[in-house]
Amino acid sequence: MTATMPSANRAPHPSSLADVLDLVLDKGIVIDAYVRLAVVGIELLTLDARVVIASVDTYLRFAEAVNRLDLQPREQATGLPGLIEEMREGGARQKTRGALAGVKDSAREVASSIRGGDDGEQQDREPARPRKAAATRTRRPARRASSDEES
Amino acid sequence: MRYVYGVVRCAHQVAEDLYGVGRPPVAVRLVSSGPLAAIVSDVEEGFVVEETDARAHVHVLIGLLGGGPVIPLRLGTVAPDDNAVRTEVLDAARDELVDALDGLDGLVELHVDADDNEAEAIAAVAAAAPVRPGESVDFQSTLELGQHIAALLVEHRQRLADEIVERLRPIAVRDTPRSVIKGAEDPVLRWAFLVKADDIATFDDMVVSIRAAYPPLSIRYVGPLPAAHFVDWRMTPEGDELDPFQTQNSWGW
Repeated sequence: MTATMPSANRAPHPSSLADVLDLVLDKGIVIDAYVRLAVVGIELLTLDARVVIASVDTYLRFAEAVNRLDLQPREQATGLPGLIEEMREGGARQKTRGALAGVKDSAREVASSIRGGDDGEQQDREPARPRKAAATRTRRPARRASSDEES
Repeated sequence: MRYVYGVVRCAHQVAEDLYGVGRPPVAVRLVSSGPLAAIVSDVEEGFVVEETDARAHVHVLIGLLGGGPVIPLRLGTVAPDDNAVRTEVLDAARDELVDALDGLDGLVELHVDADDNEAEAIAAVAAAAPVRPGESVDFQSTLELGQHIAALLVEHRQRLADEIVERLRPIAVRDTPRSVIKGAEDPVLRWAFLVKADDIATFDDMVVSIRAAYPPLSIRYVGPLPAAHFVDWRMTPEGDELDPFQTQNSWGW
């Protein structure tokens, strides 16, 4: 949109509601006297979304992800840095296929973005991660993002 | 009522087609007093801020950046009339506002966010896990494996975040995290940088090279934005004691 954009891919506006609220909800100066605030809905939504802590669900999801790794050929899962790098790069190419898992409503969008999930801006690179879906039956990690039926 | 977006210098040039909150959106205008002006637009009594208004508020602030420094006001700030804006906003903290505007002159805020792909990140750290996957046959050992992975992931993401910030920090005047990141469900990076407008191109180049250096990361880069993360104070009526604990309520009262 601007002359400087193409090289750095710098977005002129925040896209998600979470990023919008990040700028003005509890930032900027506050004026106490006679001036008052009239905001509904957004506050609770955001506060809720910020309370995301790792739970048993998280740990089970991680453990399962590791176990899926172990199903792959042994040499890929055994920690030589070069091989790990290679695997990560492979994953990065694969995941572009499943990048468009839908965010159903703005509440989930806020929650997802604050927690670091899909944000619209770079859907070509950043798959929505089904954070709450503890179990996924697909074997290959790269297919998780497209297996929306589980969430 | 007047919805108040921010404070600028009285000579600030405002585009005529800059529309703010409400339905339909109303064009914003300046309310001046002395060296200062507030950006306002009219809203009905009982006006309620919704998502589109939050976006409009940010849109207006961004639209003002080209005309000089801008001090953002918090979302949902309204005043009964123009006179209240002058007395309660502009005159009440004139010196501080003038200083703050001078401090922001020529500076803009840039955001750099980084996210990884969870499966890839786990693959990257799994080799260091002290519990081998084959051993995690029962619930307890599976849970322990997951906890180890979580700790490794947090450490891994923290390291990446540190590396990225270290590259960008020398180009910025100031920088600050935009959210507390410490848990296994948190992203890699949410950071704000205060950058001289003249240095944006240099910052752009560094973001490009960071993207190239960390292909597994998805890096979101937004700006120039109003310096919301570098202007954060409250104006209290004279004589009132400021209770620091009140500010834990994000509305302040």
